[in-house]
Amino acid sequence: MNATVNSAVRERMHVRFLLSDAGPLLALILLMAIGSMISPVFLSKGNLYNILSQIAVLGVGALGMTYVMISGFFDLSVGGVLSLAGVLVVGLQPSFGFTVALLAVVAMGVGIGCANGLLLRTIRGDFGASIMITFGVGTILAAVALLYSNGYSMTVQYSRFLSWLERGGVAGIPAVAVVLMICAAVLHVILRYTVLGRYMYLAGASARVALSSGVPVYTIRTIALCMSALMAVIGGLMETAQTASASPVAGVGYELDVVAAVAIGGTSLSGGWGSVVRTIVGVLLVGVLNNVLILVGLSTPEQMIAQGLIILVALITDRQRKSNLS
Amino acid sequence: MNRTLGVGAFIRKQRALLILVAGFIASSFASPYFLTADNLLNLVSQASINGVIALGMTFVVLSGELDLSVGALNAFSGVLVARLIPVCGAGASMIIAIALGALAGVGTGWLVARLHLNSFVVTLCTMFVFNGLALLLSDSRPVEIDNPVLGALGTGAVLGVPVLIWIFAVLCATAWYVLRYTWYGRNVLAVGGGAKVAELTGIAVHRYKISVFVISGVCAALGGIMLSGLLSSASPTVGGSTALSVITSVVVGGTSLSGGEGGILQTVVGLFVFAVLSNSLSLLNVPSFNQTIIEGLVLVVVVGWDYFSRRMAALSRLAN
Amino acid sequence: MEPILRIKGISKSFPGVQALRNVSLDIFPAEVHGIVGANGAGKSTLMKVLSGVIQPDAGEIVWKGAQVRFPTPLAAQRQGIAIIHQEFSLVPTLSVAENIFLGRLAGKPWKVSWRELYDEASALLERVGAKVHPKTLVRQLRIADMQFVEIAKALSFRAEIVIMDEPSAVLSGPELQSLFRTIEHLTQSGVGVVYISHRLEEITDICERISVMRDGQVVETFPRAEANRERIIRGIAGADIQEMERRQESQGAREVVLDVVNLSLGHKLTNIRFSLRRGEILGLAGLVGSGRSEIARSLFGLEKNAVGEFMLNNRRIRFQQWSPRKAIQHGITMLPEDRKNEGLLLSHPMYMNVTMTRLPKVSRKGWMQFRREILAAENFVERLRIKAPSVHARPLTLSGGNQQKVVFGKCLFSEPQVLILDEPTRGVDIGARQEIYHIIRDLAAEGKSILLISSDWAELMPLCDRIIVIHEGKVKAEFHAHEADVEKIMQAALN
Repeated sequence: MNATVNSAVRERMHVRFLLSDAGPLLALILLMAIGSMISPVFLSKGNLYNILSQIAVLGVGALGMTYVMISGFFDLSVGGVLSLAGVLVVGLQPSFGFTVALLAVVAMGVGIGCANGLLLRTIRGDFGASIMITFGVGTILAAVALLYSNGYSMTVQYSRFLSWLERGGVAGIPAVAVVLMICAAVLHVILRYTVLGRYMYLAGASARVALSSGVPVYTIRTIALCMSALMAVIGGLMETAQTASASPVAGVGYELDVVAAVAIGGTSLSGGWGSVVRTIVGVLLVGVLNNVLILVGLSTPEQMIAQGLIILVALITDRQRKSNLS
Repeated sequence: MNRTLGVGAFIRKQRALLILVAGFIASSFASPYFLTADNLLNLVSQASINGVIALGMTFVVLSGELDLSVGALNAFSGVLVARLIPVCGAGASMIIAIALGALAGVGTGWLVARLHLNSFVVTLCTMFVFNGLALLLSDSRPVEIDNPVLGALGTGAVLGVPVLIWIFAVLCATAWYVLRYTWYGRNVLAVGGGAKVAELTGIAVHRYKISVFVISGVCAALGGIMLSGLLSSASPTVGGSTALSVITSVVVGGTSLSGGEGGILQTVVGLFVFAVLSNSLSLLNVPSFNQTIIEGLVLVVVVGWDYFSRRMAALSRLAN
Repeated sequence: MEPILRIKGISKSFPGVQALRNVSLDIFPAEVHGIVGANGAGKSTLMKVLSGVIQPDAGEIVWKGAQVRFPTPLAAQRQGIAIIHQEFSLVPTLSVAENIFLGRLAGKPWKVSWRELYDEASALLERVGAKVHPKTLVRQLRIADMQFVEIAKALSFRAEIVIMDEPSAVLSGPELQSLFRTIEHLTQSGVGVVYISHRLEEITDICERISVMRDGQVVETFPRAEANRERIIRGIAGADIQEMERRQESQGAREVVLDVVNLSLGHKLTNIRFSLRRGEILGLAGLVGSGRSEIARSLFGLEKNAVGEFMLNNRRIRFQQWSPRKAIQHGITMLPEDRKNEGLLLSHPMYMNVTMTRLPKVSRKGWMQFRREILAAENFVERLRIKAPSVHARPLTLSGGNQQKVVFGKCLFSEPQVLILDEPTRGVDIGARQEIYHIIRDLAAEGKSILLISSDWAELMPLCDRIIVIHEGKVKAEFHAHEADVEKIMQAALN
């Protein structure tokens, strides 16, 4: 008798789990339905194209952050990385050529990720330490970007790659969105199908259990931080291409947007749960939400407010789901 | 062995004070203008705005939490006062701004204390909300203020000392007294030092957690009013880096991020480390971006050291 | 004289375990009442019930003639029952004086009277005989002094009964003497003391009445005059020691797999040496805090401060460079004592838990092979008879015994040569216990070497080939299976 009760409970929890999993997706569908009712423009080809090109920068950052959050850390340096990558690639191009500049910023991204990871490993940092340390590193990087550019936006010189990113596309899909899709596919496959991906989940689920099961927790988290810095570099390139200039303040507030998108998608803030698919849903949800808010006629500040509140709601529901489960 | 330990402990404890004294001496050599009364009064009155916010932050950090929304709240309340003054006068608008700061603190505190959400992430969100509100209220432009009361608050002086400094000094003394001599203050320290023990002893931990966010909100709002008085205008984007510099001041002074340890005197020392630093860097014409880099570096080093030394302490306790 | 506190028929069960069965006990004012029993006998649970930390399922508590309930520890404290746990409830960042009067500072809400506070604290500290300055921060105190601060805190509540949960575990010689003097002071002023301890001498020295607990019951209570060592030990161990058949004598000399040459760890372990042969089950006996868990954790690379070296298959390895990852790669694995925090990912599927110790076995060139993973996990479910709906089930939904078997599966998945088992039967019900014994024996028969730690000495003897007893961080004695009995082990472990 006990067994049947148990399995009934399990069944119910399973259903609830599925429902809460599908929540963001349902919200996305609902939002799209609302959007198409509010404005005839919403479902037009032009508007969808706009949405896709607008979410790309956010999307790549969110992909990287997904790794970091699943592995149990936080990365608030991505805004600084994004700004710095933009101004560096533009600044280095005249003297060294675009390819070298590109390689340099990619190397910079990996370097910053490693630095974050090693720093946290040295001090045996926990979740809270990762917040503070990456916050400090991000601030430094943002200031370096300002210093490098003297505080001004830098105009982009012509390069085939950047102009493809800006205007190109594949089968009517903007180039930045194509890059996003490729990144998402690669990161999804790694997370879902490789040993490295499994290690990400194990490191985030419980550092203690993972450590005493032979999982190299800090190495894994360092890789995650590298991934996230690398993605922020790609985001910086996209942003630079799209605005045809590199602004040293392009990344201000980026980290919050990114965390918000990941959290809205349903990846847990406390590690061990989540997926690339959820993050993509979260990113789409934010993108569509912004688009709808604009179509409705909200200004930028109003969007900021709405977004802040929506993340708070996401946090609260995440918490309540957790307490319901335990 | 014991004596070396004592010296080490002294340096660790008074680390910020030593840096401050060294910085002070170095600055007075570097620039002849540094040690003038004008410059020092200017230095202190500029530091007093972030100082007021840092007092509130000290309560939050002592209780083991963080508040990132202070910069946004600071900007918001400045803009709010600027907008309200033509409608209902200086007094009422200041009261409204401060009340809203308190209300924001209640909300944040409730989410942190009752729902056990991470205060960093919660205040990151409210930061966004208040930044948006500030931009909204001001149409994303600085708002001019022409009001004698606010002007006197920001630029007036009593007995040759700017009003801003008076406000800061009085609040400092009050906060110091509260933390040292009241049940409330001591319980905040207990909550930060051991929430579980405090709870078992019958201290209503969640109320204290909410209250510290209220204090922080009020201080941030007051800081916004002081700033708009000083500048005779309120800018919606003024608070961008405030939270970081304030937290950095508090932590560098020696208040532990894990809560329970530290106090107002430490915060004041930490505050003036950066005030002296940025004052002398400005006197030496070093661009402000470098100052941010230095602040960021100091934050990373201090936080890293905080964790590192705790780990070392845990290891050596075991070995003894 | 009337008892100040009567406990009548208290029962309490946790999932899978009956922690207390129908316990009755009387505590008189001004007496020292000793409580002894093996680990898991229910002493701590009883104390938690008395101090309001947990609520009993049945039975009543009568305090000064009236039936009472203690919904919170604070309620019990206000009535006059104070408990001093092994983990102290002190705020490390506050001063001694403030800790004593936490939440009840002297003076007015807006003006703490520090002088008054320090004076009162000094008086209390003097009364308990502690040489501690009231202004010192608690985190700077030695553990023994923290104990005195706790007692002073209890007195500040005007406690009429003070419960001390193994205070002597952290005290030594002179400190212990001053604790006894303090206890004497307390009883002279009419306070009753409930004293829980493993050390039999002190129990017979200072306690006026002694209660022996076993398997969640109070087996007997007798006055000091009737107490003697043998009687107590018999009571603790029970008559059913020989229930399980003994292990056959070790089959000839086999090669040494693990040879600990020397191992030291701060003041917790000094110069430990022992060796472990192939297919052997070596028991590590000792009290909680004797250092047996630290030996296990050092061998598994979890103690960063361990120094010394050991030979693993004739390879010299230094503890300083050891880590769990290396240990697993070299064929040592550990089943941790703290299953929920160190052993299992409770809300992740079972197969993930099982395979995490050696993912290369279920992957190729870095790619996970999910079918192989599921099959491997199912293999363990079958082999260890884990009762679970599927390998996708989360350990959270399983019973303690089955959870423990999942940890076994996880350990075995890494194909270890040496298995360190730290309290493998903790929180496991009787039935599953027998199964776990079988698993352990089968493993040894397969040639795996096993280091078995248990507080339940009665289970060590039938299982082990040899038993070494750890006392205060040193190897105190070594017994072969045929010469060991509970009393000998207890003698050695208790000193």
